Amino acid sequence: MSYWFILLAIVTAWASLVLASTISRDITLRNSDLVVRPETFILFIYLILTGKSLVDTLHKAVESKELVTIMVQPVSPVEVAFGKFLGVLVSNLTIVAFGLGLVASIQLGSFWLNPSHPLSITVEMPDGSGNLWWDGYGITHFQILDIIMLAVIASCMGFVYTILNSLDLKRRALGIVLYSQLVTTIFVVLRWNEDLASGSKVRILPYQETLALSIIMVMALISIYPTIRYLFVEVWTKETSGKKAMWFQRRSWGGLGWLERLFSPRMAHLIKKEMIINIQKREIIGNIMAIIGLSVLLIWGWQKIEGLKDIPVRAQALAYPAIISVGIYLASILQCGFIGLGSVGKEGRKFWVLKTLPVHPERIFTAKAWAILALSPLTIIGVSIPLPIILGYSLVWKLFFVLMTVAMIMTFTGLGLIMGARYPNFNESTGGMPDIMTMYLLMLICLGMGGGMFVFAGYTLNSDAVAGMLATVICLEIGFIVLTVGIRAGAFIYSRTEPRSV
Amino acid sequence: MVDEGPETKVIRKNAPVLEARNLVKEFGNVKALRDVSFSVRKGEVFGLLGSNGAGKTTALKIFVGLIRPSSGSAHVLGHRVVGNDLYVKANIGYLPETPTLYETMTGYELLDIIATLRKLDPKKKKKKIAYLAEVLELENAMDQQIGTYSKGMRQKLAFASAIIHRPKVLLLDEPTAGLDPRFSKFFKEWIRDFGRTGTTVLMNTHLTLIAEEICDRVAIIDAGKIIDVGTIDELKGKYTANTLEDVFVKVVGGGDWRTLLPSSL
Repeated sequence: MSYWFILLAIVTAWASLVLASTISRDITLRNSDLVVRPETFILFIYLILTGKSLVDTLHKAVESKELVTIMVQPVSPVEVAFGKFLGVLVSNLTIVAFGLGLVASIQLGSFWLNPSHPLSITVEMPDGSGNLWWDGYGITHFQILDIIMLAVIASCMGFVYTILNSLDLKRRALGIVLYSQLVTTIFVVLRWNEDLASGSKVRILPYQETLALSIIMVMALISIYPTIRYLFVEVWTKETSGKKAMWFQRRSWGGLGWLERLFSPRMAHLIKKEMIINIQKREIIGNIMAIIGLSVLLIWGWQKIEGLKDIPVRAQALAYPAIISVGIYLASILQCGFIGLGSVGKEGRKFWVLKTLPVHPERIFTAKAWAILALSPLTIIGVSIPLPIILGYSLVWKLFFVLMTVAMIMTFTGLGLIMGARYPNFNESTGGMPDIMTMYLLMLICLGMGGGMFVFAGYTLNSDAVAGMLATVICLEIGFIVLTVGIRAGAFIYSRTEPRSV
Repeated sequence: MVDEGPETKVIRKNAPVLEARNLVKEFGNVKALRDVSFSVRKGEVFGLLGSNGAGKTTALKIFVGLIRPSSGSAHVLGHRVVGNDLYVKANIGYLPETPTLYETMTGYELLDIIATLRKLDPKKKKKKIAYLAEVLELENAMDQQIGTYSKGMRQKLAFASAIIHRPKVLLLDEPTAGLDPRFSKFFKEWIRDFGRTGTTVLMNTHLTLIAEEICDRVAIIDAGKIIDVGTIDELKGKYTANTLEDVFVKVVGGGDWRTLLPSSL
């Protein structure tokens, strides 16, 4: 992986410079409804980090059976739980450090490439106060402090909420209602600032905002102690003493007769097994929520930048398709690429079950692919249909987005399956997902392939409808080829996989 | 879809059902198996007896096709495992040492999937599942998720999945681990009966009493090498020992036990 790391570092540096070069010009967006404040972005970062903390706490602490080896040692459970919390915190701070480093590299790259025009994207406010996001030399030190403090708060929130969520109903409800006061306060601070700015000339000063967040951070940190002191051991014991089914897991899967009507009994049973295992993964639910969120965000984003007049006509023509394409890319990689990436690793110590049955690996991988594809209509319904309809695109363009979504789904599933077989992670506490570098690599490869296909087909369609549809069909074929190659290559690698732990 | 091969092939006459030929397995710098050779005849219950980390599980995994040997070859029913793995898998039943199963599936769902993938007739499949559930006292748990099962129940379910298709070869890794004395005795009787009715059994154990009770022959393995092979009586005679445990200690070496007593702590 070290070679990959070097390659990725070079690609990232290159991408940063290209990005810097592209945006190191004064861009002014004028729009009476446009309200994009730094707080909006910071809030978004906070929400992502909270989600990550929830998943980390669940996998690495609350559901960790391995923890028993440490728990039986003469160490206070409070110390053990605090160590787990620090693990979540450090991981979040590392991401923030990486993000801020990337911002710094973009700024430096911008300055290096274009010293006379350093990075500057100015979004003018309705009242003409202007300069809201990139402000000449980037984000302010108050905003950096805000992001770091919100990373700490997000870690606390994720940790405490996960533990509260495992309590019995009454205590869970009470705990969550009480603890949610902190979250509400954050929203009030960030949103209030935003609303004031958009509606009036009065707004709290940056240092006041930072001060408010620092008070919330202290409160959040204080809340960690009673949680780990009084609740952690109870929750960990409960969660590791036997798997309890979630409501959607309790339904009987015996009645999947429709699968047997479409496939042979063996293939139907393999797909059924894959679907049970996929549904078991809470990440699927997370992904579904993310896609719904993405869909809402796209529509919201469109409303916000509707009537964008001051940018060049060519850029205007590309802006909306680009937004939809990004949405399709994100939804497809979440729902297909990442699920494929975890498809072998998620077997964990259960790897032996299928591997010792007389089933050809290609059949197993075909079933894995079908199980992923069965979840894909959500991407089409959630992302690639609503926005073209709202935007009033022609039927050809609507069809283009749906077909390109299918192409992306097939391509990303194929790529995910290959990389999932090549880099399986049998550590069950991670849900089968490989390390962050492998995920990043998949995102880059998918971005390259997906971007290329979108540009090729979209550009052709913009010039000529018939040729454009032909190009779209070619993209579909490419998607199908990648999926087929993914199944075969994945199966080949899988047949040679020898995990020592299973 | 790729053809998964015929279920039966003609076996060379008098060929051993299981055969390890100069098996070597290396994990990086660690040599788990060093030139291991042995063979098992039809209907024989053969035990691989060794300490923890001796290489027993590695040998078994090679026969199942879970891992490939670094050199040498494993043969099942006269066919090399590498290259004929689907044929081999169709004819074996495998019980791992710690059978981790799909926790959100019910016991019935797991056996149903395994029986279908092993191409059992749908009617026979239901009957067999019902029969195994009854004899293994799992009837009331078949509709419960495996995540709620105790260790012994999981072991029984995994055993059911290994024998549901009545395999020609059974590969068992510590089969009685986690079972109560009643089912431990039951498993031993079933394993003996499998041998008597023509199923070849290769069993890993580090429990000499179990090996003594049910194995026709045993191979003593230590640090990846086969030290000796023979019937229990042959080995007892050869090493002038009363029990297989004594044979094992003499062959593998046990050191001066007095220095290892808890009072020395």
